[in-house]
Amino acid sequence: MKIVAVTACPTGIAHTYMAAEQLEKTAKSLGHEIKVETQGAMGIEHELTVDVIRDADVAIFAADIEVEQRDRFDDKRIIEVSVQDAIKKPTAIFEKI
Amino acid sequence: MSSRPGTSSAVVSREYTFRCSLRNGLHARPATHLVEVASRYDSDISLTNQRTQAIADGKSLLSLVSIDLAESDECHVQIRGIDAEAALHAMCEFTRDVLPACDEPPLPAPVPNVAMVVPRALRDTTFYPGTPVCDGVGRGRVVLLDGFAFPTDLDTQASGSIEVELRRVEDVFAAVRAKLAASYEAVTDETERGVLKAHLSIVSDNSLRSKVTALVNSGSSAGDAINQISRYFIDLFQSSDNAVTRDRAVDVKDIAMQLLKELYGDQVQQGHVRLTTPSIVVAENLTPSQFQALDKQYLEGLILEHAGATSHAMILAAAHGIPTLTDVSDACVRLANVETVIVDANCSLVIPDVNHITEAHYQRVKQRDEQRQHRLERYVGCGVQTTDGQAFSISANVSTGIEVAKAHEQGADGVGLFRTELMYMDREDAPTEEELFTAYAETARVAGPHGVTLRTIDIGGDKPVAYLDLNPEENPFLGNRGVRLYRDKRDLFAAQLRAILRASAFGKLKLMVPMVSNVEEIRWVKSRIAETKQSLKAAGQAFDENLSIGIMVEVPSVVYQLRDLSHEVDFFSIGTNDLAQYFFAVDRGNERVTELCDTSHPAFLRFLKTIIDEAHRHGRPVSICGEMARSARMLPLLVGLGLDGISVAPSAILRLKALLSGLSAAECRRVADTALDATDPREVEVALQTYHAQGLAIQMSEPDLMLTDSHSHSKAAAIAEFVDALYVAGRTDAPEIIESAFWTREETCSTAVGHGFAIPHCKTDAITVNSFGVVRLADPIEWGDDSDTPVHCMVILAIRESDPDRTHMRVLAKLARKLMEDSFRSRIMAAGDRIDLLNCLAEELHLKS
Repeated sequence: MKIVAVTACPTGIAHTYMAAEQLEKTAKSLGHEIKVETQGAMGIEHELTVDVIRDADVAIFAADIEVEQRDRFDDKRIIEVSVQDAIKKPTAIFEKI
Repeated sequence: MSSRPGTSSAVVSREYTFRCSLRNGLHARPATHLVEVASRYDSDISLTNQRTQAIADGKSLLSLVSIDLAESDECHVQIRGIDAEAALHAMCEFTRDVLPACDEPPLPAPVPNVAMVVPRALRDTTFYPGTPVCDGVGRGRVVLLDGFAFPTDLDTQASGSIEVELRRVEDVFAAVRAKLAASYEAVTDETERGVLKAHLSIVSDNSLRSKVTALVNSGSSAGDAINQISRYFIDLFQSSDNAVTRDRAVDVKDIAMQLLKELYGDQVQQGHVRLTTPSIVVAENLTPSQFQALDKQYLEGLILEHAGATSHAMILAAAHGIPTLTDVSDACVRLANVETVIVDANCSLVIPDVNHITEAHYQRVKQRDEQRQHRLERYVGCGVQTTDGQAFSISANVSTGIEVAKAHEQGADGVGLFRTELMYMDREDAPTEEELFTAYAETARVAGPHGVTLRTIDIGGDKPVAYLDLNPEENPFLGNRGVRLYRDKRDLFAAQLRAILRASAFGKLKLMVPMVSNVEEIRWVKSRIAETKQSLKAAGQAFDENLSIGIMVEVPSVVYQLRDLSHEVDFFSIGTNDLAQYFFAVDRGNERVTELCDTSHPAFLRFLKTIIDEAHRHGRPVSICGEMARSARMLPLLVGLGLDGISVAPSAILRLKALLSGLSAAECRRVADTALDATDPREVEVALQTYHAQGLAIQMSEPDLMLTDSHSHSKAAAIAEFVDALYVAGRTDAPEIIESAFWTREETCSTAVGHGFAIPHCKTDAITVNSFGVVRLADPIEWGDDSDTPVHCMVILAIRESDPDRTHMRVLAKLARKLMEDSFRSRIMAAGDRIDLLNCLAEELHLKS
């Protein structure tokens, strides 16, 4: 599957990136394609474009705060989880998709 | 009897109105100057505050202060007497040209370093808040100091004879005046002298005397009269809207107590106490005399209910470094039955309950302070070089003699700038050669091997030095100041030269001349020096034959005369504050344009490079003594420009030395080259940032932040241990705030990431440099949340809130990601000592090590 994801945590310096790392590793190990946008202390990085989002099958939000520019995902099925879940139990998330 | 032409013996009346433009109103200091001017004339001079209709005698300090003339108040001046015309002229000139400049406080109000956060360990402890006056932590036995209520039980029966009572008044005033004058002569500390001077002017005040005398004439005893009139002024001052005036009420009280003590001897309860063990003195308020009388050997701290932060007693406390808190409500009552108390002026807390928790906390605080001091001490008494062996001196800028000895303790390589004008200000006459010599000789004695550079007086029309009779100028900064003044004030200058030369026999001194704009000026100065040397030699007085002479580079014209000036002087010191003003044509004090005066502007940097290169070409060292040198950010630039050193405020020295020891001169030169080529300050900033980013391994972490074998047994202890490490490493001055920030994050959501690892982190400007570290726990600890495994390793991050640094953020993001990898975690656990661990991390994160 083609997956897009956004990670966002309050302080934006650690969990955002750990969650991104976990999602990427797990997705790849399960044979999925994934692109992860991080919303952290440096702002939005690896921003997901309209095209990329359109092509994706599903979106994952691993966030403890509001995801910025959420409206990009208006037509997408979104799986919302906490940042902790993405870090500690990423495999479970992919079972949901 | 002949009358001088142009005068008449008729009584004349004159009047005019002025508007008070003093931000803090007409308080004691400007009022003193006004009194000096008014007192030169026979005429009666009265000032009426148009807003309140209160009238003051222009020759009475107390009277002037009591009419509470505030900013924007209109004041009507009435002059009546034979010399009214001359008085009018002088008063007009004074209130128009001099008065507006009299606004700075004479004694620096204490500026403590405050955390303003309750330490986590003390969360559940009882404490009372206060306002810090001087930082530090003090612990001791509570000693309550009685208020100085006016004595009510004195035998104040009038003797029955008005003459006798008047005589008593005279004697008592004279006695107190004499005592104060004697103290004033004996004391060398400038802060104490300032207080004594203020007291002298109160005891000499016209209005105080005349009012007391009037009461006595109407039948009161001397004691009663003094009592009543003092209370009158005290009440008047205390009800002022002006905080500075309110603080002076205590000074009047102090004088009143001294007068009454003179009159009644031991019957007067003075509010003094003898300290015999380490004590914390608790009182409602404190007069300067009461403070001075306290044995400093046992005075560990002060707690006041309502002493004003700028009152003289508080200023003295700060000057003596006594941890002090004021505004502690009802302190006397609340601490009446407490035996031991702790004054934590760093966190603004009074701890009345000293138990094992507080003991443990302050033990920890003491330990980390000692460790921090120890770490910095390696720089005391020795110069520092860059990593590639370039020497760069860091000296101190001081204004008083006591700061000189302290400067060495604070790591200074000598004193690069001793501002001598302080001894000339706030007095009625010039200091004598002897006075100056005493001060300079003492300075020379403690000068150390690097010496003290005395800058000859740097005064101009902007500073009110009454006895110099300086004509007010339209543009004092472009006027008769610094060296330009010396020709007119030959005796003044001669006295200073003699004092400096004589003092040079006692230690290493250097002489530096301000405001030089051409070669001829310095040649003139050197001739005067030569004359002085001759005269001293003839009198058989010793001096340093090879006294080093230098000039301030602050007038731009000097920059293109460096070749010729190099033949005349031994060194150059760039006064960047004034040089930049003249360079950019900006008045730094003018808010509208001050931004244009940017010392990091490439044009100014090129200007500096010109100066440095030219001076070096002619074999003369150059340093900077302006504010730009103080900035840690600019240090690589200054080193890269080729300066031989800088002179800064003492408190900045150790930090700068630590920074310097990690710089590479070659890289600094590269940064400087880029900056010199820039078009605007922003490009300079980018160059600096890039430089700092390249030193990542050094900047973001260090061996002392790799706590490889921690024996902390709880999350709280482990975090505290790391916070202390940050503090000792100089990466924060407010450990309480950092600790609090870590906990804020902990309470938001768990920082455990599984596999026995946790990543506590925080975002706060209390950390001076974005940092990370590792705490490897000898015994795993409970993380206290729903997490599965106990934690045996913490990777801790602390980042700044403002000026986010992308390069640093990238490193931290990478670090966070790597923590998700088994192999990375294993490497962290397997690394040997601190250095190994740091190297391992540097490698994994691609940092330059």
